Amino acid sequence: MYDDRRIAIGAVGAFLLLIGLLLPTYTTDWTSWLYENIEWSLQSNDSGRLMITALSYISWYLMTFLFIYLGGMVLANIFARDHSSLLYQGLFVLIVLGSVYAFNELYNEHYSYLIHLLVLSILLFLQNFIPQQKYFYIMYIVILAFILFSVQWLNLIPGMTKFGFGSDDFAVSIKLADEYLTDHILFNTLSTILFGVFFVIAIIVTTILHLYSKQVMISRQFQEQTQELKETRGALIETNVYKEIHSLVHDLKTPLVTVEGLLSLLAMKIQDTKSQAYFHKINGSIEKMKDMVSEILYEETKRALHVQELINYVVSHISLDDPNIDLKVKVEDDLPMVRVNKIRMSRAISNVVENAILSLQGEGGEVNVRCQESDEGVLITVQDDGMGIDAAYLEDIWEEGFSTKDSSGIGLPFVKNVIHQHGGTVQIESEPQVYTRVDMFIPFQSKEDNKDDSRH
Amino acid sequence: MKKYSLAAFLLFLCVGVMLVNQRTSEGEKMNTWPNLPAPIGEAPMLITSAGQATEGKVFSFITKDLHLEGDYRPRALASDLYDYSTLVIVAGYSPHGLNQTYRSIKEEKKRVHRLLHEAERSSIPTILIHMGGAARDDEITWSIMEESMHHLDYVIGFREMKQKKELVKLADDYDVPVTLVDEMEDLRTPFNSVFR
Ligand SMILES: Nc1ncnc2c1ncn2[C@@H]1O[C@H](COP(=O)(O)OP(=O)(O)OP(=O)(O)O)[C@@H](O)[C@H]1O
Ligand SMILES: [Mg+2]
Repeated sequence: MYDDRRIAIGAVGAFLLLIGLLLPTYTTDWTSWLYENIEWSLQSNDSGRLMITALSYISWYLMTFLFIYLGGMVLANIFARDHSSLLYQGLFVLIVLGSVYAFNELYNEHYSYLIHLLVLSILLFLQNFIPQQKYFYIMYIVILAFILFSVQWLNLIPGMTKFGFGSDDFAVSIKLADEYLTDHILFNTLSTILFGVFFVIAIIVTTILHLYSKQVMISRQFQEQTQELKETRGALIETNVYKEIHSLVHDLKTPLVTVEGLLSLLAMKIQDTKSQAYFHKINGSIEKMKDMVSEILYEETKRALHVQELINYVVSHISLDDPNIDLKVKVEDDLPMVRVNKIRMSRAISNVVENAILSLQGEGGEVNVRCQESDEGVLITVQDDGMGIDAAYLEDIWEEGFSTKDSSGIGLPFVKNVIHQHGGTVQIESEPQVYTRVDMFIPFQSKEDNKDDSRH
Repeated sequence: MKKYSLAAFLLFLCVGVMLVNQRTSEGEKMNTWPNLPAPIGEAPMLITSAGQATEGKVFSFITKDLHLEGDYRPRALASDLYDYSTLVIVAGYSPHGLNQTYRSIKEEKKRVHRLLHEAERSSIPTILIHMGGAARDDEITWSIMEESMHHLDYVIGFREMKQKKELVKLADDYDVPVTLVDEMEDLRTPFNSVFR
C-alpha cells in the first residue's frame, strides 16, 4: 500500500521531468517564431522587436525548467520527505542538474549551468521561508517562476558572457543582434534592470508569504490556547462531577449494609423454609451489588479470571467495521488464572487494541492479539502492521494528553497505570511504516494480592 | 545552519565557475595580422552560413554598411557560386537555425564542403568569418572551421575563444592569414581590406 503510493508519486515526478525534457519537440512553432523574429528585428532595425523576442525566449525556457524543477522536487520527495534535509536538497540538485545536462546533450545546446546553480541556490535558501501549509506547492511554484524568470535575464546581459552566462543558441543570437543594433547598450541595461526587478519581487513575495503565515500561526495559537483553557475548565467541572458520583456510590453502601443487617435479623425471626430461600436470594443480590460498588470505588479490587474470559470480554466490546482490518486472537491453552480488576484491565487492553486498529485506518492490515505464558505470568501481545510510531515519539506517547490523531491522548497513560497496579510491565516497540508491538506482562501472583482485596 | 549549507555551497560553486570562466576567456594576447596588406577579393560576393547561426544575417548587414556588393544566401549551393567573385563563409552552429532548414548538421557540412571545393576549382577567394567568439566556440562550430581551413584564403575571428591557440596554429600550418578582433565593430577594417 505504502509502496504503491511511492511508485505513483515517482511516476508523476518522472512524467513532469519528461514533459520538460521533451517540450522543445512539441513547441517547434514557438522556437521557429523566436528564430525568425531575431532575424526580423535585424532586418527592420527594430530593437523593440528584439526585446519582445527576448521576453518570449525567457518564457519558453521558464516553461521547460518549471517542469524539470517540479519533476525533480517530486522525485526527490520520494526519498526524503523533509525539504530542509541535506538528502532531499542533494537529490533535488542532482536531478535538476542531471536533467539540464540531458537537455543540453539531447538538443546540442549549451544552456548555462551557472543559471541553474544560482536558481537552485536561491530556491534552496528561500524555500525555508515558504510556509508549510496547504498552499505550499502553489506558493513554491510562484516563487520558483519568479526566480527562474529573473535569473535567466543574466543570460541576456552581454557583459556577463565572459563569466559563462548566456551560452545557449538563442541567447547568443539575441546578444549578437543587440550588438549590431545597439552596440550592447539596450540589453546591458534592460536585462540588468529586469533581473533586478524580478529578483526583488521573488524575495518580496516570499517575505510577504512568510510574514502572513506567521501572523496566521500566531492567531491560531491564540485560538488554541483559548480552547485549551475552556477544556481545562470543563475537565475541572468533570472531575467535580466524578467526585460527586463517587461519593453518591459510596453513600449507597450505608443503606445496603443496613438492609443486609436487617435481613439477617429477619432471617433469624422468620424460620419457615420458603422465606429462608427468599432471604438467601436477597442476600446474594446484596452481595453482588456490594461487589459492583467496590469495583467502581476501589482500583485494587481484583478477582481470579481465566485469560480467555478476559480476552473474550475485550473482543466483545470492540467494534470493528472496516472489512480490510483483520483482527486475529490467539490464546494459549491451559493458561493459569490471573487476578485482575476485570473492568479496568479489559479497558486497558481494549485501548491498546483500538490504537492498533486506528493505525490501520484507511490502509487496512492485520492486528494480532496473542496470550502466552511467560515466566510466572501471562504476556499479552498486540501487534499491527500499520503506520508505526516515529522513534522521536516513543517517549512522548506515555504522556497524558499526547496524541497524533487529535484525540484525548489518555489511552496509553491509563494502560500503564492499570498494568503497574497489577504488578506488571508494558513496553512498545515500533518501526515506522512496518509494525507496532505492545507487550503487556501480568504476573500470576502480584505483591498487591497479598493485601486484602475486599475492603468495604 | 544545516538547511542553508547546500544553498551556500551552490552559490560559492557558481561564483567559482564564473571566475574560472572569466580567467580562461581572457588569456594572453596573440599576434595576428591587423588586416590584409593587399586586397585578395572582388565584389560581388556570396555570403553563406556554415551552421545556420544568426551571425550570417548580422554579417550580411555589416557588409551592406560597408557598401560592399553581395548577397546573403544562408543555404547557397555550389551551383549558386558562378555569379560571384568572392565566397564568404560565416561559421556558427545553431541547433535552432538548423531546425529551420530541416537539414542535419552532416548535410550542412557537406553543403559547405561542396561550396569550398567549387570555389577552389574556380579559384574564387574564400574568407571565413567567426563572429560568435567565446559564445559560439562549441565543438561543432570548431569542427566546421577545422575542416574548412585548407580551402581558405583569410580568417577573421574573435580573440575571445576557447580554441584560439589551435586556430592560429592551424592557420599557420596552411599559411592562411588570421585576424582576431575584440568586438563586432572591429571586424569592419580587416574585412574591408579584403576588397580595398
Ligand atoms: N498501534 C499504534 N500504531 C501507531 N501509533 C500508535 C499506536 N499506538 C499508539 N500510537 C501513538 O501513540 C499516541 C498515543 O496513544 P494514546 O492511546 O495514548 O492516545 P490516542 O489514541 O491518540 O488518544 P485516545 O486513546 O485518548 O483516544 C497515538 O496518538 C499514536 O500516535
Ligand atoms: Mg488510544
